[in-house]
Amino acid sequence: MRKRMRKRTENHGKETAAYSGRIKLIEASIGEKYIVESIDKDDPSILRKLCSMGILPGVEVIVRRKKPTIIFEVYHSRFAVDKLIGDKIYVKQLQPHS
Amino acid sequence: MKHKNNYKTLLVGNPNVGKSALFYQLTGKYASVSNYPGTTVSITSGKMSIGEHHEVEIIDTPGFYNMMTITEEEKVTKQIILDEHPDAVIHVVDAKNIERMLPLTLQLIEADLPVILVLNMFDELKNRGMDIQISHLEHDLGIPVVETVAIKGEGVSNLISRITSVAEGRHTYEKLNVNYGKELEEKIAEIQSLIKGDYAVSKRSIALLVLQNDSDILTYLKNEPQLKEIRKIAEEGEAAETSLSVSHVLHNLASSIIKEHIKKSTKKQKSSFQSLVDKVTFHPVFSLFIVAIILYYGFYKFVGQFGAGFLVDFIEANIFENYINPSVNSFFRSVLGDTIFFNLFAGEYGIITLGLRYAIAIVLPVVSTFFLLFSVIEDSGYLVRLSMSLDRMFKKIGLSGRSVIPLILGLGCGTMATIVTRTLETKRERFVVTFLLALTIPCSAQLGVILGILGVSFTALSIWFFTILIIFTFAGLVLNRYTKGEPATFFMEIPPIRWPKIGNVLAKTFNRLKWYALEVIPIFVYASILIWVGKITKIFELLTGLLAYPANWAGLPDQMGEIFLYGFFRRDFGAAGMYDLTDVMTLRELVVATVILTLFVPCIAQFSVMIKERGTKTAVLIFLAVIPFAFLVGMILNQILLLWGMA
Repeated sequence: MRKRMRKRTENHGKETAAYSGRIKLIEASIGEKYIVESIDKDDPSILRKLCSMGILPGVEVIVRRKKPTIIFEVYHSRFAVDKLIGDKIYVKQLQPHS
Repeated sequence: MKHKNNYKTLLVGNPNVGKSALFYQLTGKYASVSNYPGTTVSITSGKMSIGEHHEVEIIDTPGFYNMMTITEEEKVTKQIILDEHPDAVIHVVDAKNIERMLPLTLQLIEADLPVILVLNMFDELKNRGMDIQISHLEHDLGIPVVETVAIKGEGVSNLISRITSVAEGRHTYEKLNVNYGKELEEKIAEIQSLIKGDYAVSKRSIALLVLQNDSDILTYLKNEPQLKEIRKIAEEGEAAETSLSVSHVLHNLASSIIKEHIKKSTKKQKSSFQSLVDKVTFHPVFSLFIVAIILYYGFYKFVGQFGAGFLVDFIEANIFENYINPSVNSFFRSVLGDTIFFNLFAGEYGIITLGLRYAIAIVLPVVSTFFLLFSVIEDSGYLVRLSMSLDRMFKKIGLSGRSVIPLILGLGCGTMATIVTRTLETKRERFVVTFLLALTIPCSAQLGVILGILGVSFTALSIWFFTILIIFTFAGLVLNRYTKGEPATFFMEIPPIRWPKIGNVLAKTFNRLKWYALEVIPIFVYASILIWVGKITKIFELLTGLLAYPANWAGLPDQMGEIFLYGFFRRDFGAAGMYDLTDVMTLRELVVATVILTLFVPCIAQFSVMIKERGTKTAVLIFLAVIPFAFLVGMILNQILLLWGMA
């Protein structure tokens, strides 16, 4: 939990009261659907890269593998990223009823 | 209506969407079709005729994701967009991924460029049970939208007529309404009002790039009188925040447009074969088996034994030694007699008897088989998977998995590979890869000869291989430790595994060979001339004499000095020259000699490209570091082998 409650640098999209559902992409479980909640802005080059590939807040992702690299699907494409980048993407579990 | 006879059209888009295949359909000429960002390193252009009087120049640009560019190649594309004043810009997207790619279309529309959107690979979209209402999409975007299946030529004639109408100015473009929110819009307006010049793209686009702190745009605006003020506004804002909001707004707009016009289905469309292939190629252990299979059958059997063994023997021994060389020698002897000019063309080091013979008989067969193999691996989508599996290991030496591509290409031709380092994202990574290419990676011609010489003994070959591998790792660790800059990150789109199309593979191999013939073979000829000059002026004698010392220290005969020197003029010259020495040298000497040759400075062609790509200072630095290091390793290896009792 401590990890999840780290200082937020980010507030895109609609604000919700708590960010308890927020985890890093590298912590996501394989095969589950998530929504990108925010992207860390500390590293502008990573941010830009993600933006230009269309990996943005609000987009749905499914993680397929975590080793040796993280593989995830966005729309109909698959991407491979390393831990460094997986660390910068925050996701939230998609609620089954929403 | 414009009245021109020649129009200029750009093809832009992500890598791997069939841009090059479309280029081929439009022009009848071929460019690379690639699975990884950046095969189209040089810009390819071709001509297409419309009717009898009009000609359209089609320029195929390197992969492009966003107006905010990251890699060198993307910068090249942006530069073309900013400088070329195209009559039409064709944005090619993968139809099933339109939602992800449409934001770039929106950026291009915002830039007031004459955009045509091409939904390529439309069949794949339909196979997934989806459909797009083209006419509605056209209406919403206000630009022509065309569906195509480029590899089958479907939709191409429709595209041509759209290109004609856009280029002739018959299509009326409307302003697209994008709203980035009050705060950002105010800043955009402020910058727009400060820009006075006339540019190829809209001031709004330029303003957006300025606000996102784009690295090139301020240079582009260098003649603006109020550049200072523009820069000031840019510096006040939060560039990262702006990038995110801009992308977010564009993506939301794209999604809302697409959602209305796309029919989705829940039908899952993935063959069991493909998912099996995915499982294997993504698996950390199984993927290594595939590497082993490719190394053994692809490199050892096909390139090594077939290319470097059978083909070289055939062309070299049969054609050159039996027919060409004797007749060239006797021809020049009858014309020039026994003068120094005879030796320029014929004899031991003549342009024809040495330069062209090495180029055509030894290097060409090896390079052709290598390029063929490389194109197959590349088109199958496997290279990206290999990058992925090796990423973690490569991180240890400061590289990302992405650098696997130039490094493997280096096994074909180090010169070409050094150019391909452009696809890497950081200066640091480009430097490390250039260094490793110069030091450790043997090119295919060299590899062929080394396999030929050491092939007699598996032990010898293994010692060579592991020595080079150890040096590669060691050099990587050292470079990683002492090179300035941020560590590389890894991010790649994974293309599906596809059966390579024979036509594409052949065309691509042919293109690379053509490049090789035009760029590299002339250097063989110059090298022969240099050797000739060096020989008559006795400079070579001096240099080979000097190089004989370190050769001796590593336990090698004097003649190796000559081979090392010639090795610079062509790495493979050197290795090929060793063939003549195989009888007089022991196995230990051969191992030490091949290791030094592999590590020794790259050939003259690669060195000149290193200067071009990395700058003279860096290139010379690498050069000067490599020579003593190569000999040092040779000496140490010699001592170890002596201790081990190798004869």
